[in-house]
Amino acid sequence: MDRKNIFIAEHEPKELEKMRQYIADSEYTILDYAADGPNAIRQIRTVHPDLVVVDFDLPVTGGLEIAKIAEEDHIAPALVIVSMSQSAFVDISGEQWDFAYITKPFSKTEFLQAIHLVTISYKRITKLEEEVAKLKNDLEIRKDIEKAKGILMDVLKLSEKEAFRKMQKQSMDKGIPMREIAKAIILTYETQK
Amino acid sequence: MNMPKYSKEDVMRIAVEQDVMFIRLQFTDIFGVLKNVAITVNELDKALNNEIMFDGSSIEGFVRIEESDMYLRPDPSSFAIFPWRPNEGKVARLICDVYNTDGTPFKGCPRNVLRRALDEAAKMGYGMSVGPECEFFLFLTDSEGKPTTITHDDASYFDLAPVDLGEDARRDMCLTLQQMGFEIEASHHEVAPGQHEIDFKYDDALETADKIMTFKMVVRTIAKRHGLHATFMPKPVYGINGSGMHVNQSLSKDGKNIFDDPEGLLGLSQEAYYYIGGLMKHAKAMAAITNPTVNSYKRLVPGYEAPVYIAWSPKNRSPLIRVPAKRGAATRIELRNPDPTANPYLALAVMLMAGLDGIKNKIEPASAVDKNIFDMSEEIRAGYGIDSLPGSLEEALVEMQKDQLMRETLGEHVYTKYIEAKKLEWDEYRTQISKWEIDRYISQF
Repeated sequence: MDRKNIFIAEHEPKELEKMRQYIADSEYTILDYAADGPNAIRQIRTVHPDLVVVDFDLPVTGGLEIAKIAEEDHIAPALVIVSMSQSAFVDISGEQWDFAYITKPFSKTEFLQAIHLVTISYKRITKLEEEVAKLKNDLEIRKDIEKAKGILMDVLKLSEKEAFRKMQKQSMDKGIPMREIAKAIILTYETQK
Repeated sequence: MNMPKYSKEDVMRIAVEQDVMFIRLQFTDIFGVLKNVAITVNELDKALNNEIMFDGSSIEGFVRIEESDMYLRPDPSSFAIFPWRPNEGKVARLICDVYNTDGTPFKGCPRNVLRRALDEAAKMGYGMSVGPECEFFLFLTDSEGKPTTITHDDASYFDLAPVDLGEDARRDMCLTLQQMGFEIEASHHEVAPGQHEIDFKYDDALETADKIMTFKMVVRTIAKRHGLHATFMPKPVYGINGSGMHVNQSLSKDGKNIFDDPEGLLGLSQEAYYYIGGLMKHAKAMAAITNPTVNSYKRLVPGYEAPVYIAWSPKNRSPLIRVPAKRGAATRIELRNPDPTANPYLALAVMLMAGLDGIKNKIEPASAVDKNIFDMSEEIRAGYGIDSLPGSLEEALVEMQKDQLMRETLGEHVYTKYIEAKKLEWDEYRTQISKWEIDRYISQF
């Protein structure tokens, strides 16, 4: 079941109150809130919200820092609230800024839709990131195994099939993953050169 | 050796491969504060050719206005990319030595001071290995972001999730340090609430001094990323343990640890004993370097596992000098009074020179004291010839000025600037009215 817990980092009581009202009869829940950067980070890391809404002008660190940490450390996606004048700055920053943002003043609909958008995008991106990480890893393993195979073929004058089978046998007999066998072969070869 | 030895070409290649955008040219001032000159990757070539200059007069304790141009000479093997900004332009760092415009090493650069000491040791055939154990506190900040002395341990937040903020932060610190090439030996919560310790593997003295500076930077940065404030202040809270930086040290010759001697008493060589003798002889004089702040001396009091008396022991857990049980390549002497506010370059330099003085002049240390010194009366301690560390920064400065070895090790420039600044610090502290005085006297008188 999808939990839709939100953490709000907002120092202006009026803004906070507005957001509370908007969220009150929505599918979302406000877990907690903070009025300064360090406090926000501490709480976000503790309560693990599904989304962080943060004001650009948040005291002590600024809101951007909180958004960065939340996303860089894979805690939650961030929605940054900026004022009209700040949104010009955002547009100029271009590539440097890759956070979802919403400009004040915003309506209830705009707010909830933005939240929804950020949440589903984050889900997709996280899934893709995991896939990419796995593929990268598989590629590295494949590279190592190919390299080790090549070494065995060269040094022991084996065919490709025989080299692979030899490694496979070692892996099964010793209960060590193929990748470790490959790395050991490469290391031995390099140190003996 | 833990870090790979990069050449200038390696650094250029990696910077390009990894899309590094900014580089911090780091160096340390004589008070142990990390400074940096920021450049973009376009200037990296220039930096590696030792062409980057900066205004030395902007650094406290460096120079007067007239002699201000200084050059930074980066050490390519210190190249490291900061792991905590993966999405934006990557930032890397290079640790630098400071040089004068005429190409001579700047005498006020602490890294050069340590190099000189290491050169002295090398002349005798010795290399120095150091493994530090560094403690620190993690405190909460208030609504304005200012540090408090409230630890997350006693703040009761939440019924939602009993996560230990400090543990998370410390784990993140270790991961980050490892990504930067550190080998972490141990990491745990310390005795006092909010206090932590991270130990990393011993390395050559210069590398270790660099690592201590890096360590402090990483701890502070990661603490911030967890909404906490890290402090290396020796005694931030009265009545609980303070933060020390125990320094495990050994000398090697031809790749072999020369403190180790299976035939020797306790498995230690004669040199090991002389080294201990040297450390004990100069302990009081070194204090202004190993324990450089007013607050340092609030930690060096009985009852909190910090040393007070000048003695060594292979058995006791809280002496000034401890000899851990391990032998072989891991044989070492542990000096327990330094605290993390010490400038690691200067501290290691004076320790090394003190130890070498012991070896050169065959200084036999007093016998080990395995009894509890804190239980002894003053007469008994005097009977054993047990002296004590200075009780304040003022006393420490007096002791430092009595010892010619300090002057020689630090060099005239650092020695003079250091004492000048520390005297000012003491004077400023001395003339402040503390809360204790108000509480104690304002009503009574």
